[in-house]
Amino acid sequence: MNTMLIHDFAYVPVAAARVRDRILANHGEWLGPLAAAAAGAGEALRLRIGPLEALPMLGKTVTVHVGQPIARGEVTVVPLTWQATNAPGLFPVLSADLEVAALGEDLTQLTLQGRYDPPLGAVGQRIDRLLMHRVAEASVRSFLGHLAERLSALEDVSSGILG
Amino acid sequence: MAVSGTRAERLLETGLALAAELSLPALLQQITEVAVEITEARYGALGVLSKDGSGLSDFITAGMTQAQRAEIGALPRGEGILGVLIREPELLRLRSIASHPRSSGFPPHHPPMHSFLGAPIRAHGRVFGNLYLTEKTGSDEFTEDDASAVLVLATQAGVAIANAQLYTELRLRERWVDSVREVATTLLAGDTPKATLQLVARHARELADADMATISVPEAGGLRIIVADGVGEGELLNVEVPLAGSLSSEVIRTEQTLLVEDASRSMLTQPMVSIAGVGPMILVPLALRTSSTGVLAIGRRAGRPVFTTSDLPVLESFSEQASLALEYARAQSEVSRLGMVEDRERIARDLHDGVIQSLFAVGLGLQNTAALVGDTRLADRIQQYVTEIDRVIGDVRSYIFGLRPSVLMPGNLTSTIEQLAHEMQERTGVTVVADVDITLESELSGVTGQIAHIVREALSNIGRHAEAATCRITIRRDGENAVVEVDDDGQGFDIEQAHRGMGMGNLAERAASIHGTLNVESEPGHGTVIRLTIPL
Repeated sequence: MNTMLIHDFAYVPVAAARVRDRILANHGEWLGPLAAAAAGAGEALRLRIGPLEALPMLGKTVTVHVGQPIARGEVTVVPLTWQATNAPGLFPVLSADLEVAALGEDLTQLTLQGRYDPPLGAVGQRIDRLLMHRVAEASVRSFLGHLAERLSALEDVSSGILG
Repeated sequence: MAVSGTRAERLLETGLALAAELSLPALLQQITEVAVEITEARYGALGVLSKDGSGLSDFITAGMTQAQRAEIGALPRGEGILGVLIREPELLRLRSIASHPRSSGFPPHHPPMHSFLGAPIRAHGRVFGNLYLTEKTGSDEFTEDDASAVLVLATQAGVAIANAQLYTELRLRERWVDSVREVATTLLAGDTPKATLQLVARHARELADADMATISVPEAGGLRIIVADGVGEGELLNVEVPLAGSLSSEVIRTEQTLLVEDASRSMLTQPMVSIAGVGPMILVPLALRTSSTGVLAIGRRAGRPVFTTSDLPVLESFSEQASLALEYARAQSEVSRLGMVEDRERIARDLHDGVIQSLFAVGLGLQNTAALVGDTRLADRIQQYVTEIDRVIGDVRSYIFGLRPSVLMPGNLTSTIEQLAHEMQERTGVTVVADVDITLESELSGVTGQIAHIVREALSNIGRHAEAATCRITIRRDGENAVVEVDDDGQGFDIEQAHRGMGMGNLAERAASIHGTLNVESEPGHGTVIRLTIPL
């Protein structure tokens, strides 16, 4: 089985410590719906560009498990596992490190570095190489985008309340 | 009253000789013998008053053999005629002891005594003791001249005793300062805490003229003697002191020093009594930074003089030093741990920012290349290299995660274990108690991570399989080993059938990696004990 690597990043105009605390809040349970929404974005791409409607990508209902984070100076690495809730055998499991790094007092870079094994054996791998990896990349990009938006919005609400 | 010429000269010589004697026991013996000589008595004695002045704490004799003294038995307590002088410290001269209304007779094997002459000795403005003389040679009673001579001698003796006491006190203070300095030097030289505590115990015992000294610290719901010095030290070392019903428990409960006249008569127990036959004791609390406390105890064998409040300052100063040694050990352990954490942080940072990022970039590049090649077999081959690179990234990542402490779990051995206990309790509802011998922290600092892994795995097993209500994590010293125990009151299991399949193999391998051994005790319905033994 061949492994696929995936890498993307996004910026959040919020202090890194606050981003880290928000991501870890409630053991990261709130990340599941964001991942599901991101999978929806990947699904839309697949429908738009591909002829393989029947093939699954990252799943429509998703559980994101947040592992024990580790701190490395100004950087916190949060291990994530992204898994489809229904029929997990049909969907790949994405294992990733979400790195939260300070770029300044109020700017944080979120980097997701992950890997997954495409399902459905050799055929699945070829399809993945042709099409599905782009879908996966779109899903991950969408996830980071949603996450950055959500974190910014939470900060705005918090500032509004405090202000 | 006047003293005759020859006798006056003898007394003058005696006064000079007494003033030159600085050893109190030798001086008391000399006074007694001189009193016998100048009064021509057959027997003489010097009774030293106890600190409270109600009886005698020592009794020095002259004219009587050791065998005679042994036959008579215990020292007089200060009753009868002896008691008259204790209560009324004035010169007393009697033709017949038996005729005095307060006479209480003699014990068996006591030689017959008739004539009597007694006088108090005063030193430092208080009565130190009394001179007792009996059986005037060649006469039925002591003369006025004898009485005058005894009064002069008693005055000289009082001055000499005060001098000897001051000298003794001065010497004691010198030794005290030397001892404190030696302990401080040992502490700052970086010797092990145990070596420092051993020194504290020895100096405390010697300076207080005790027969034994111990230092005990909290461990496994009680106290354990981690240092013993003097009589019975081999038997006392590592003995557990119960935290209920013991003299030590009283010291810890009240956080006050305890001065015990005779511990063998106390309702409260103490290993020193049962193992080393101790009577008088002093127990001083060790004030540590945390809520835990320990006890410095010294004892004299039963029958020896009791300790007094004048012994307390010495003991309390050594208690402070012992506390400092324990605190210092804790601080050293923390510094060592922080140093190790910094090293690990640096290695982890280098690996993550350097090696992993490079490998990932190469992997992504190859992956993109594979997508561009038209030859499917070549693309598959390239993709296999990507998979291999990913495997290496996974290995390095695991190494980093193993190296670096979680942000959720910083701390030394004690705080790590307490954190694990807390998390287990929060997660499963099982009541978890942690007992860690703090003196082991520095010795186990190099294997704290492995111990934490083993304890975490053991707790995980309990959470998943044991159906336990309570669980206890104990880290204690057992001779030359450290013992880590995780025991529960759950349903247990059949070791023969189950234990390889419950992650025990991994635990045993991890134990072996730190030269430890792992034992599992369990049977259905009787809980489980997982015991890791690590040589120190």
